[in-house]
Parts: sequence; structure tokens; C-alpha cells
Amino acid sequence: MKLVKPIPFKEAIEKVGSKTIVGSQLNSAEWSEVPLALRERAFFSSRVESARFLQRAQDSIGDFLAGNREPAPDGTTMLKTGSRQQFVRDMQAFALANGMGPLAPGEKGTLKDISSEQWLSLIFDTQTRQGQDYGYWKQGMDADVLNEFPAQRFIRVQEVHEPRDWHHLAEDGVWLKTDLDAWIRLNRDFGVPWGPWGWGCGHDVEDMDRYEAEELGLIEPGARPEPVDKSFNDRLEASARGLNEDVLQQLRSAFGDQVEIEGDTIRWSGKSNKPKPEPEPKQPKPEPKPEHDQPQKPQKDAKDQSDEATATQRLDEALEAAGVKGKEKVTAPEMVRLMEQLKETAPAKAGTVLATIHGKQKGALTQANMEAEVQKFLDLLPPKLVAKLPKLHLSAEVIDANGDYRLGGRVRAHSKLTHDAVEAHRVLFHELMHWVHLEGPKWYRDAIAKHFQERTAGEALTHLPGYGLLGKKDKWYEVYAGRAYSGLVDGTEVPTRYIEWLTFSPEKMARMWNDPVFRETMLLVLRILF
Amino acid sequence: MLTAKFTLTFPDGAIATAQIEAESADAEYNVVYSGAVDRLPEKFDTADVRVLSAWAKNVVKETGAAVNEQIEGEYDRFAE
Repeated sequence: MKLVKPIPFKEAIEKVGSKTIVGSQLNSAEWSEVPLALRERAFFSSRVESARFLQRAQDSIGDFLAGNREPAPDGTTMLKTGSRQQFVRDMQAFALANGMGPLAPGEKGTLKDISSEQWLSLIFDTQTRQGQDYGYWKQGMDADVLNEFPAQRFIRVQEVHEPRDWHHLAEDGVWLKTDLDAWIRLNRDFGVPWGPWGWGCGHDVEDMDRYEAEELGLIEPGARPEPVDKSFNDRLEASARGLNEDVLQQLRSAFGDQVEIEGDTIRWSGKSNKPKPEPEPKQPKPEPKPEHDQPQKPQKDAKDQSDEATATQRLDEALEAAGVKGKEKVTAPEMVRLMEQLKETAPAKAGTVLATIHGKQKGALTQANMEAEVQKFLDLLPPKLVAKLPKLHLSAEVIDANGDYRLGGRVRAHSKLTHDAVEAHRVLFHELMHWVHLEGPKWYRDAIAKHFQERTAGEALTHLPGYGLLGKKDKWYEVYAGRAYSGLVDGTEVPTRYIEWLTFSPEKMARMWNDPVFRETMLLVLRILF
Repeated sequence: MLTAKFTLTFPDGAIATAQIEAESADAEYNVVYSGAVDRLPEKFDTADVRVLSAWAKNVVKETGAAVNEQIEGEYDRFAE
């Protein structure tokens, strides 16, 4: 078939067109606190109150997506909005004609200037891509399409000035399209399982067919995945229900009669904003920068079922049984006893957790030895926790570091470690701890982040000696534990660096345990083993 | 390569240094001593940077020496 003219993307057009125009003074940070169900169904832009301006923008973007035409002066027809450039030009003219220039002289031409090319381009790019990516996602939820292409890969398609560390960790990762948690986790700015994946983000997704998904162990042969568009819609609905009176009052105050509240549920009324009485003075919040990272806490993880209180209690029991609970000074034999207490009686089997494994011909990183290392680590983990983690893809490769971890269970160790069994053991424990920490229960990430924040309160980011990377030195037993990543949870290298303790000799373990500052953090890190 | 050099100045002005060159934070490397090494209460043949730093602090505690810690360069490799 030969296409001679563009085919309008029905889902994309409907998505943009179905959004309710909502004008308000809220800035981006304040909008991010509005329930997802409202945000997702609103056509808005931060600090834009003019419903007319927003309506014009929505119509223009709708015309662009639909390829709508209008009569030209020469009697032919032309596209109403043929390009981003035309959108910017038309909206600039509209904004200036309606007195919507920059609020302060210093803001002219910046992202705070509604009439600037930069700002209008951002609106155009974000709105058109949201519509199009929603369309691709919706089409991918067709039962037959989903069966043929059940997964997608997260790929970089464009370089940006400051890539998000979080996205870097996920790059080239493959998840089932139906894994809403995984995809929403990647989209912290917009909270939806389709792109764009953040303000100014250079990532996209590409379809993976059934064969590849089966090869990666993501789906069983013959299993037919169920579309999750309804599940996601239910989540959206849930985000607008059960809101407490304070939140409802704040939303009422921000949006006036643009919102309808019924009991504890809120929705858009479809009424345009009317002039309101003098707004209450608000503390200005910083605008998000589109090309920059915005560290945030992880999204709520619906899969979290672990129990911090139980873990803490069981760890206490293990310390008691090993004879080290509350002791200021311990011995190497006591550390040996503690190690025994940390082991599971019926651990998960490495063979059931490893989806793929690529080892070296000989040395510490043969397939068999790497599998044995994974088993040593699994011996310490509750099988119920392991069951909730993604399957592992383990490989020995030539990489920039001794080891690295990327989201989706991808663990790599440097090939040269095959000649150094001690280092290979330590590095694999380090990377496997990333797997548990970043993909495991939210209570654990929160507990580590809280500890990190408390320990480093008031300390500025600095270049960590020996690493040249940004972080907070604090009194971690080794400075790398204080490494800071953009867009990642605080304390990302705390559990990883501390779990290496389990790979040391009992004598060294005892020496380190006898330091109360070290012990405080170690006791927190060990909780995930229970 | 990271170079860590600890210079210990004793109360009478005598100076001893201990230095290692480390590719990674976790492996142990040969310690090179110089100067008034007979004044050091304890010596390790090998150490990592953390251990050598703790050792220097201990020398300060035991002898009243002052320590100057110089760390230059970066580790060549580490687990990310």
C-alpha cells in the first residue's frame, strides 16, 4: 500500500480533544500535586489562567494532529496548523494581542514568558507527543496486538544536556506492556504508562515481539496477556476518590467552579474559570527545567506487600540468636553465627530466578560460578521477596565499571573479574543489592532514603574523593555509599556498599560491626533480608 | 589511580610518611613508608585507603603527632 497523504491518528486526536480546558495560576510544582485523574484529563499549562488562550492552543494542536485544512487566499486549501513553527507564531500573536507577555522584564524569552518560542514549543511538543504516545499505547492494548507484541524496550532516541540517572539505569530495559508499575515508575513527571517520559526527555519505546519476550523470560509460551487499559483507568479514578477535606478545599480554592466535588470525589465540571477574588498569597515554587533532572521520591508501588515491622522484629531475633544483640564488641565467631542466622531455610533457587546468563569460559565468572554467586545471595533473601522481583539477566562483559545494575534485573560484571574471585563475589553482591533495593518493597527504599537524609542533613553535595562523583561523604564507612544520583532515591549506594560487608572475612566483619556508626546503618540495611 | 599520602609530624619535628597507590577502594596495596619510620608504633605491609587513614589517626592518638592527609587522583574502577 502506498500512502499519499498522512492518516490522522484517531486516538491521539481524541486524547487531546477530550481534555478539559483548565486555567489556573498554579505553577508546575503545584500542578504535580493535583490528583493524577484531574491532571491527566486537563488541558492546562502552568500559570496560564486564560481559558481562551488554552482553547486556542488545544484547537491548534488538534488541527495539527488531525491535519485539518482551511481555505487559502488563492482558492486552494492549506493546513490550519502545519508545523510547530506555525503553532508558535500563531500563539505568539494571540498572546501578544491579549497582553500575555512576560510578567517581569527579566523573564522575556524564557520559560516564564508565555509568548516565548521556548515556552510555546514546549507546550506543542509535550501535548502532541502525549497525544501520539497515548495513541500508540492504546493501540498496543488491543488484545491481538498485545499478544503479538507483549513487551516494549525503553530506548534513548535523542541526546539531552543532562540525562536523568534514573532513565539511564532503565535504558534498553524491556518490560511487558501490561506491567503498569514498571512503566509508571519511569514516568515520574506525568505519572502515566506512555510517553513522553518526562519533561524534555530523550527516551522512547520500541515494540518487542512475542519471541523476544519469551526469550527474555517475560512471558510464558502460549500465555495470552490481558490488556490493562481498564486497570489503568481504574487507578486514575481511584486517585480522585477518598480525598480528605483539606485536599478538596485546596483544589476548590485553586480551581473554583472548574471542579465538581461529590462526597470525597472530584472531577472537572467543564466550566471555564471565572475571575476569582484576590488569591491568597502563595510561596513561589521553582519551575521545573525541561532538560534537567528532578529528583523525586519513587511513585507509589502497588506491589509493595512487605512489612517493615516484621522484618525489624525478625532481625532482632536473629541478632539475639547469634548472641550479638546490643553488644558493643563482637568477635569473629559471633559474626560466623550471625551469617548462619541470616540464611533462609528454604531459599529461592537461582535457576528459577535467572532468565538469562552469559559467563566467561573460565575463572570466577563462568556461568556455573555466577549462578553459584546468585545462589549465595538468594540464600539470604526471603523467597517471597524474590518472587516479587524481576527475573535476572546476568552477564560478564567489558564495561566501564567493575559492575553495574540497570532496571529490569540486568546485572553486569566486568569480564576481567573472572581472574579475581574475591572481587567478583563482592561486586555481584553489590549489584544484586541494587536489584533488591530498587525493585523491592517501597518501605525499604523509604527507610534507606530517610536514613540518608537524616545522616546528611545540612551537608552540601561535594565531589567524593577518589571517585570524582557528586555525593555526601558523611561518616559512611566508605565515601561511595554517599553517591548522589539525579532522579534516584536518596541513599542508592548505601545498601549496596554496606551489603558488601557480608563478603568480608569474619574478622573484618567484627572490626567494622564494633564501630557504632557503621552498625547503625548496617542494622537498617539488613532488614530487607527478613 | 588514586594516591593517598599520610604525613605524620611528631612533636619533636620528626616526619614519617606512608603512601599507597590504589586502583580500587577495596583491594589492599603495598604501603611505602619513608622518613622517621622507627617512630611509628605499628606498620602494615598492605592496606586500603580506609585502613591506612584509620591507622594514621591511631598514630596521632598514640604519639601526639599531627597528620596531613593528601589524596590525589581517582580509583580506576568500582562497582556502580
